[in-house]
Amino acid sequence: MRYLRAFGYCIEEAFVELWRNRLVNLVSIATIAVSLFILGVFFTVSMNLNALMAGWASRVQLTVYLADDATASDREELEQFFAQSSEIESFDYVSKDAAVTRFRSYFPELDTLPDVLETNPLPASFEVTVASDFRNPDDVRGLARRVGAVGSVAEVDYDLLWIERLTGVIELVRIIGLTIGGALVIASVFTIFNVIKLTVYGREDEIGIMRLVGATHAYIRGPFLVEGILQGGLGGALALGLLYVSHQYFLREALSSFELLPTTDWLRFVPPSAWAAIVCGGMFVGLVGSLLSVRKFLSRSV
Amino acid sequence: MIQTFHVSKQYGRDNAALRDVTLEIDKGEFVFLTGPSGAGKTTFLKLIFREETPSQGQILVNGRNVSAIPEAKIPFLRRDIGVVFQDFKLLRRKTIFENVAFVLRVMGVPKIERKRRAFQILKQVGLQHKINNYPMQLSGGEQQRVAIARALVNEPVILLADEPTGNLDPELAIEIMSLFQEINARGTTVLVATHDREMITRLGKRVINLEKGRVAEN
Repeated sequence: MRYLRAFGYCIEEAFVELWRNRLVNLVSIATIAVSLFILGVFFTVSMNLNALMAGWASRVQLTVYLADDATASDREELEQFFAQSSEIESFDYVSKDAAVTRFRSYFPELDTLPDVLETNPLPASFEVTVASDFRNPDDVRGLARRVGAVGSVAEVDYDLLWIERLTGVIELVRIIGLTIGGALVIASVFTIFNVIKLTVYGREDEIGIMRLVGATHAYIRGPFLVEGILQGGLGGALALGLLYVSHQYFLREALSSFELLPTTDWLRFVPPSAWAAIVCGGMFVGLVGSLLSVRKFLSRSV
Repeated sequence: MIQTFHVSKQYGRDNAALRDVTLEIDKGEFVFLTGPSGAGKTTFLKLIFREETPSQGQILVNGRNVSAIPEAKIPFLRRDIGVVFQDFKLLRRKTIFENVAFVLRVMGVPKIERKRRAFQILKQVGLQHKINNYPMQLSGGEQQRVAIARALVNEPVILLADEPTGNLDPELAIEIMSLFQEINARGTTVLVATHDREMITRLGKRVINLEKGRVAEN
């Protein structure tokens, strides 16, 4: 009960101080908000690019062309190989005839071409869907190499180059985001540190008196820590709000001018777990800033 | 209750505030600490509640060796000691009532109890009508009474007062002194530093006279 009362006291004092120095506190809240907002923007962008890429990557297929002289037993052997491989989710056999039919449906204007050629030049193939855990450039390349080594296989075709490039772009976005965001978060810690330091200086006499009438260190420090956490939490909430507003604005204004993108379904807002992370991240930044300040400026014993 | 053994306090190299002070104040005593300005009265009080530590010697307060108390325990020593500071040391941004109740708050006393006790003691020092004022809105004498109320509100084991009647007119000074006597009658050890010879004579209590940091008369 006593601890609860002390906790209540810290909260009450922190709110009073926050309101009393609202202008200065606004500066630290804004600094945190801007830092977390920028981090959030980069997070949203890389998250959406990731989702986009995952969508594309899920369509990654290996087309395994069989040699013309492949026999039915060669085919069975390959099917067995595919069935046993954990890297492969599913596979479909496309016979030479089926390939011609497909060719005709894709290119109706060339309908007569297979007849003109007399023999069927299209090879039989397997269309192999890679299991989701292995849909990355390295695994796909490795799988293609192993399948290609099978004697009855003429060629393995896959297109990964653009996914590799996109992975590079996402990585870059993430690194830039983390660098800029990280630097800003450190700046926020220092802003909070300085703002709380000012408050501590401004209340030096008061703190001295509190000590003389028997207030413990925890009792004196508590309100400052809560104040830092509050500043950080408010900054985080503000960042989240800004992020939401800009997301909405981006959806409505910017994307509507791109005829290229028929839907904006893929452009999602960060998930609730990220909301919590942003607000808690702000609180943590606030706590670290005020802790540093309080440790440094309230360490005297009398 | 308070024992000092060969206590000296040195500020800088050749500024000795107290020299070789050995004395004993029993539980429940009422003692005046007197002497000219600069005799070491305030320093002596500061040593008791560990605002200062002695350069030499030992101090026992309520069975505790004051210089040996770990830092984290200092607040608990201070909660046993009510101090009326010469410069009052009131929290400027809190009301009179909050100033007095703060001591109880620090100790974790529930709100209702805080209200009751703070109001009661403010009534005893005659400030019940000013509980919502801030210290700067009060006269020197009124601020001094707030400081006295704050020192008494948690019924401390020891009451230390540094010139508690310096800003009060004689009538009020007598009233405050009788409040101290009342507290003393309830078992609190009282140590009052004062210049006021008339007051000392009237009350006829034990007197410790300091001169240039030494005990001249006990």
